[in-house]
Amino acid sequence: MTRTLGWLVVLALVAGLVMGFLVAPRDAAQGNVQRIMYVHVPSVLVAYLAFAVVLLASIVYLTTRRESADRIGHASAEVGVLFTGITIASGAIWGKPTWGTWWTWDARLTSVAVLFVMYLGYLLVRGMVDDRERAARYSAVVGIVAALDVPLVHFSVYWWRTLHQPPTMLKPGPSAMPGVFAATLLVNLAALALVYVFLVTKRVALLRREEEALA
Amino acid sequence: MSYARRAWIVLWKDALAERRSKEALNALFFFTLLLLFIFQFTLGGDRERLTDALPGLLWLGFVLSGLVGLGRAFLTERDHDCWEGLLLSPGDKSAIYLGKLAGNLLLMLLVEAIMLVLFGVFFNLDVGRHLPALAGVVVLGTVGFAAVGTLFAAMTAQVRARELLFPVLLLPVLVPVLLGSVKATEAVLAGEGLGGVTHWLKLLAAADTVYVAVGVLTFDAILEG
Amino acid sequence: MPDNWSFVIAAYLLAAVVLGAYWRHLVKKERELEVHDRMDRPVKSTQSMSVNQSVKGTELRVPGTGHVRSEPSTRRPLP
Repeated sequence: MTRTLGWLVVLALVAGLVMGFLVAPRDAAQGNVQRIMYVHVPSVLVAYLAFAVVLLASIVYLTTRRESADRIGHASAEVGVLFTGITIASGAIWGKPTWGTWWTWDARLTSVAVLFVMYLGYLLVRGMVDDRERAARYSAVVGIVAALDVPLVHFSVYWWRTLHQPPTMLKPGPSAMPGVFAATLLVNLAALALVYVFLVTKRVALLRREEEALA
Repeated sequence: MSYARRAWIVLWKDALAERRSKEALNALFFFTLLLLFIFQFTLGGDRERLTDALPGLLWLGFVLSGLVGLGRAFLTERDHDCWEGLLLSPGDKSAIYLGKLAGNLLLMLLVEAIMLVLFGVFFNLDVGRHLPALAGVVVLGTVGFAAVGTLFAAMTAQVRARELLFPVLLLPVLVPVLLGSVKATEAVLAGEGLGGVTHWLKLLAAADTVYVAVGVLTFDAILEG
Repeated sequence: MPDNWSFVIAAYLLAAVVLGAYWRHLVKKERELEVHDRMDRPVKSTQSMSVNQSVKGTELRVPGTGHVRSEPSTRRPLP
């Protein structure tokens, strides 16, 4: 089953690259730099998906204490942090030629950075609590708090940056959304979502083996 | 024994212990005084820049002293081996959470009040003029701070890298509370009143509700075992 | 606006490297665990037969080539 999934991932990634570089036209306003959005936007969306899964897994774990829920939460958090890192880095790489600077405290970059640090904390709890069962409980609580915090972080950072300030920043992402751009985004989103599923599946299997090895 | 009574007992025990030893309060008072000196030394050269930064500095001071105060929240339980007592107490453990929350909240508000007075004295901040609005904002922000802080303090109390893990977990989660509190405080101190910042106040209220609710629902899982 | 292809390549490469490195890390750990399992197995099977019979379904594999290897004691001499 993982073999077919693996091949599906490769296929989807190739499709995404083809769409992103060959099918999608050059953006009129930003030039070819805009193509970075086909990595940046799907990455952040997959990261949100990952953290939503962490929330669900954490709640299931705390209410049922099923170890499979714990493993899924752990794996999803790891992959989610990876995608968040990719989001920030690709956003910065896009920002340098577009805004002239690697980092700005604009609403989206800042809230994603806070997201990154919150879930790094989740992974730190996993790493620093020796007793497996306690680590599972503690990180489940952190996973729930962090997920519930996401909308709060969003609004607070957005208001902090945009109210009483002239909108001088270009919003990251395609300004208009003609069909081709949207389609390319969707294909790349599907590809990265499949990568997420693939990596989480592998990580969960590995976690189960690690536990068995220790037993 | 009723739920409310159990929460009250936890609060009363902590308050009594604190009143007898005054350990935390004295140290925190001294700490806030030192913070003021540091703010002055690092930023005080330019009078105007310092005045502009005052709302932020105020909350920076609250956060730093709050971290110290909350970090010690479950110290007595840890040092004197009282965890078993907490774990064996009958009924819903969330009553303990609320009792601890109330105790931490009171301590933090007390320290913050002292800091406001010190700010008034040393930085010429006219606290009295806007006191009701300012007090409202401070309470709203501190409730959120204390709510997550108490939960995470209980969680990290028995972890080996506690002093590192506690702030690392707490600070990112507190970003909305921090932003809202500073923005609202700015408006109040600038004389604009709370009318223009109702969205921030609503955000703070929402955050407070979420944090207390999560604390009540998950404290049991934290204490277990 | 100039096209800045180097930035585009950099962003894609970064994503590829991060995801690829994580995948390789997972594969490496999986192999380590397989070796660890195999080294434990002869010891485990002599100690607690009944427990282990239900636990693992994978066969012994020769490192390097990966083909299935039977237990020495079960091999029969060639006629």
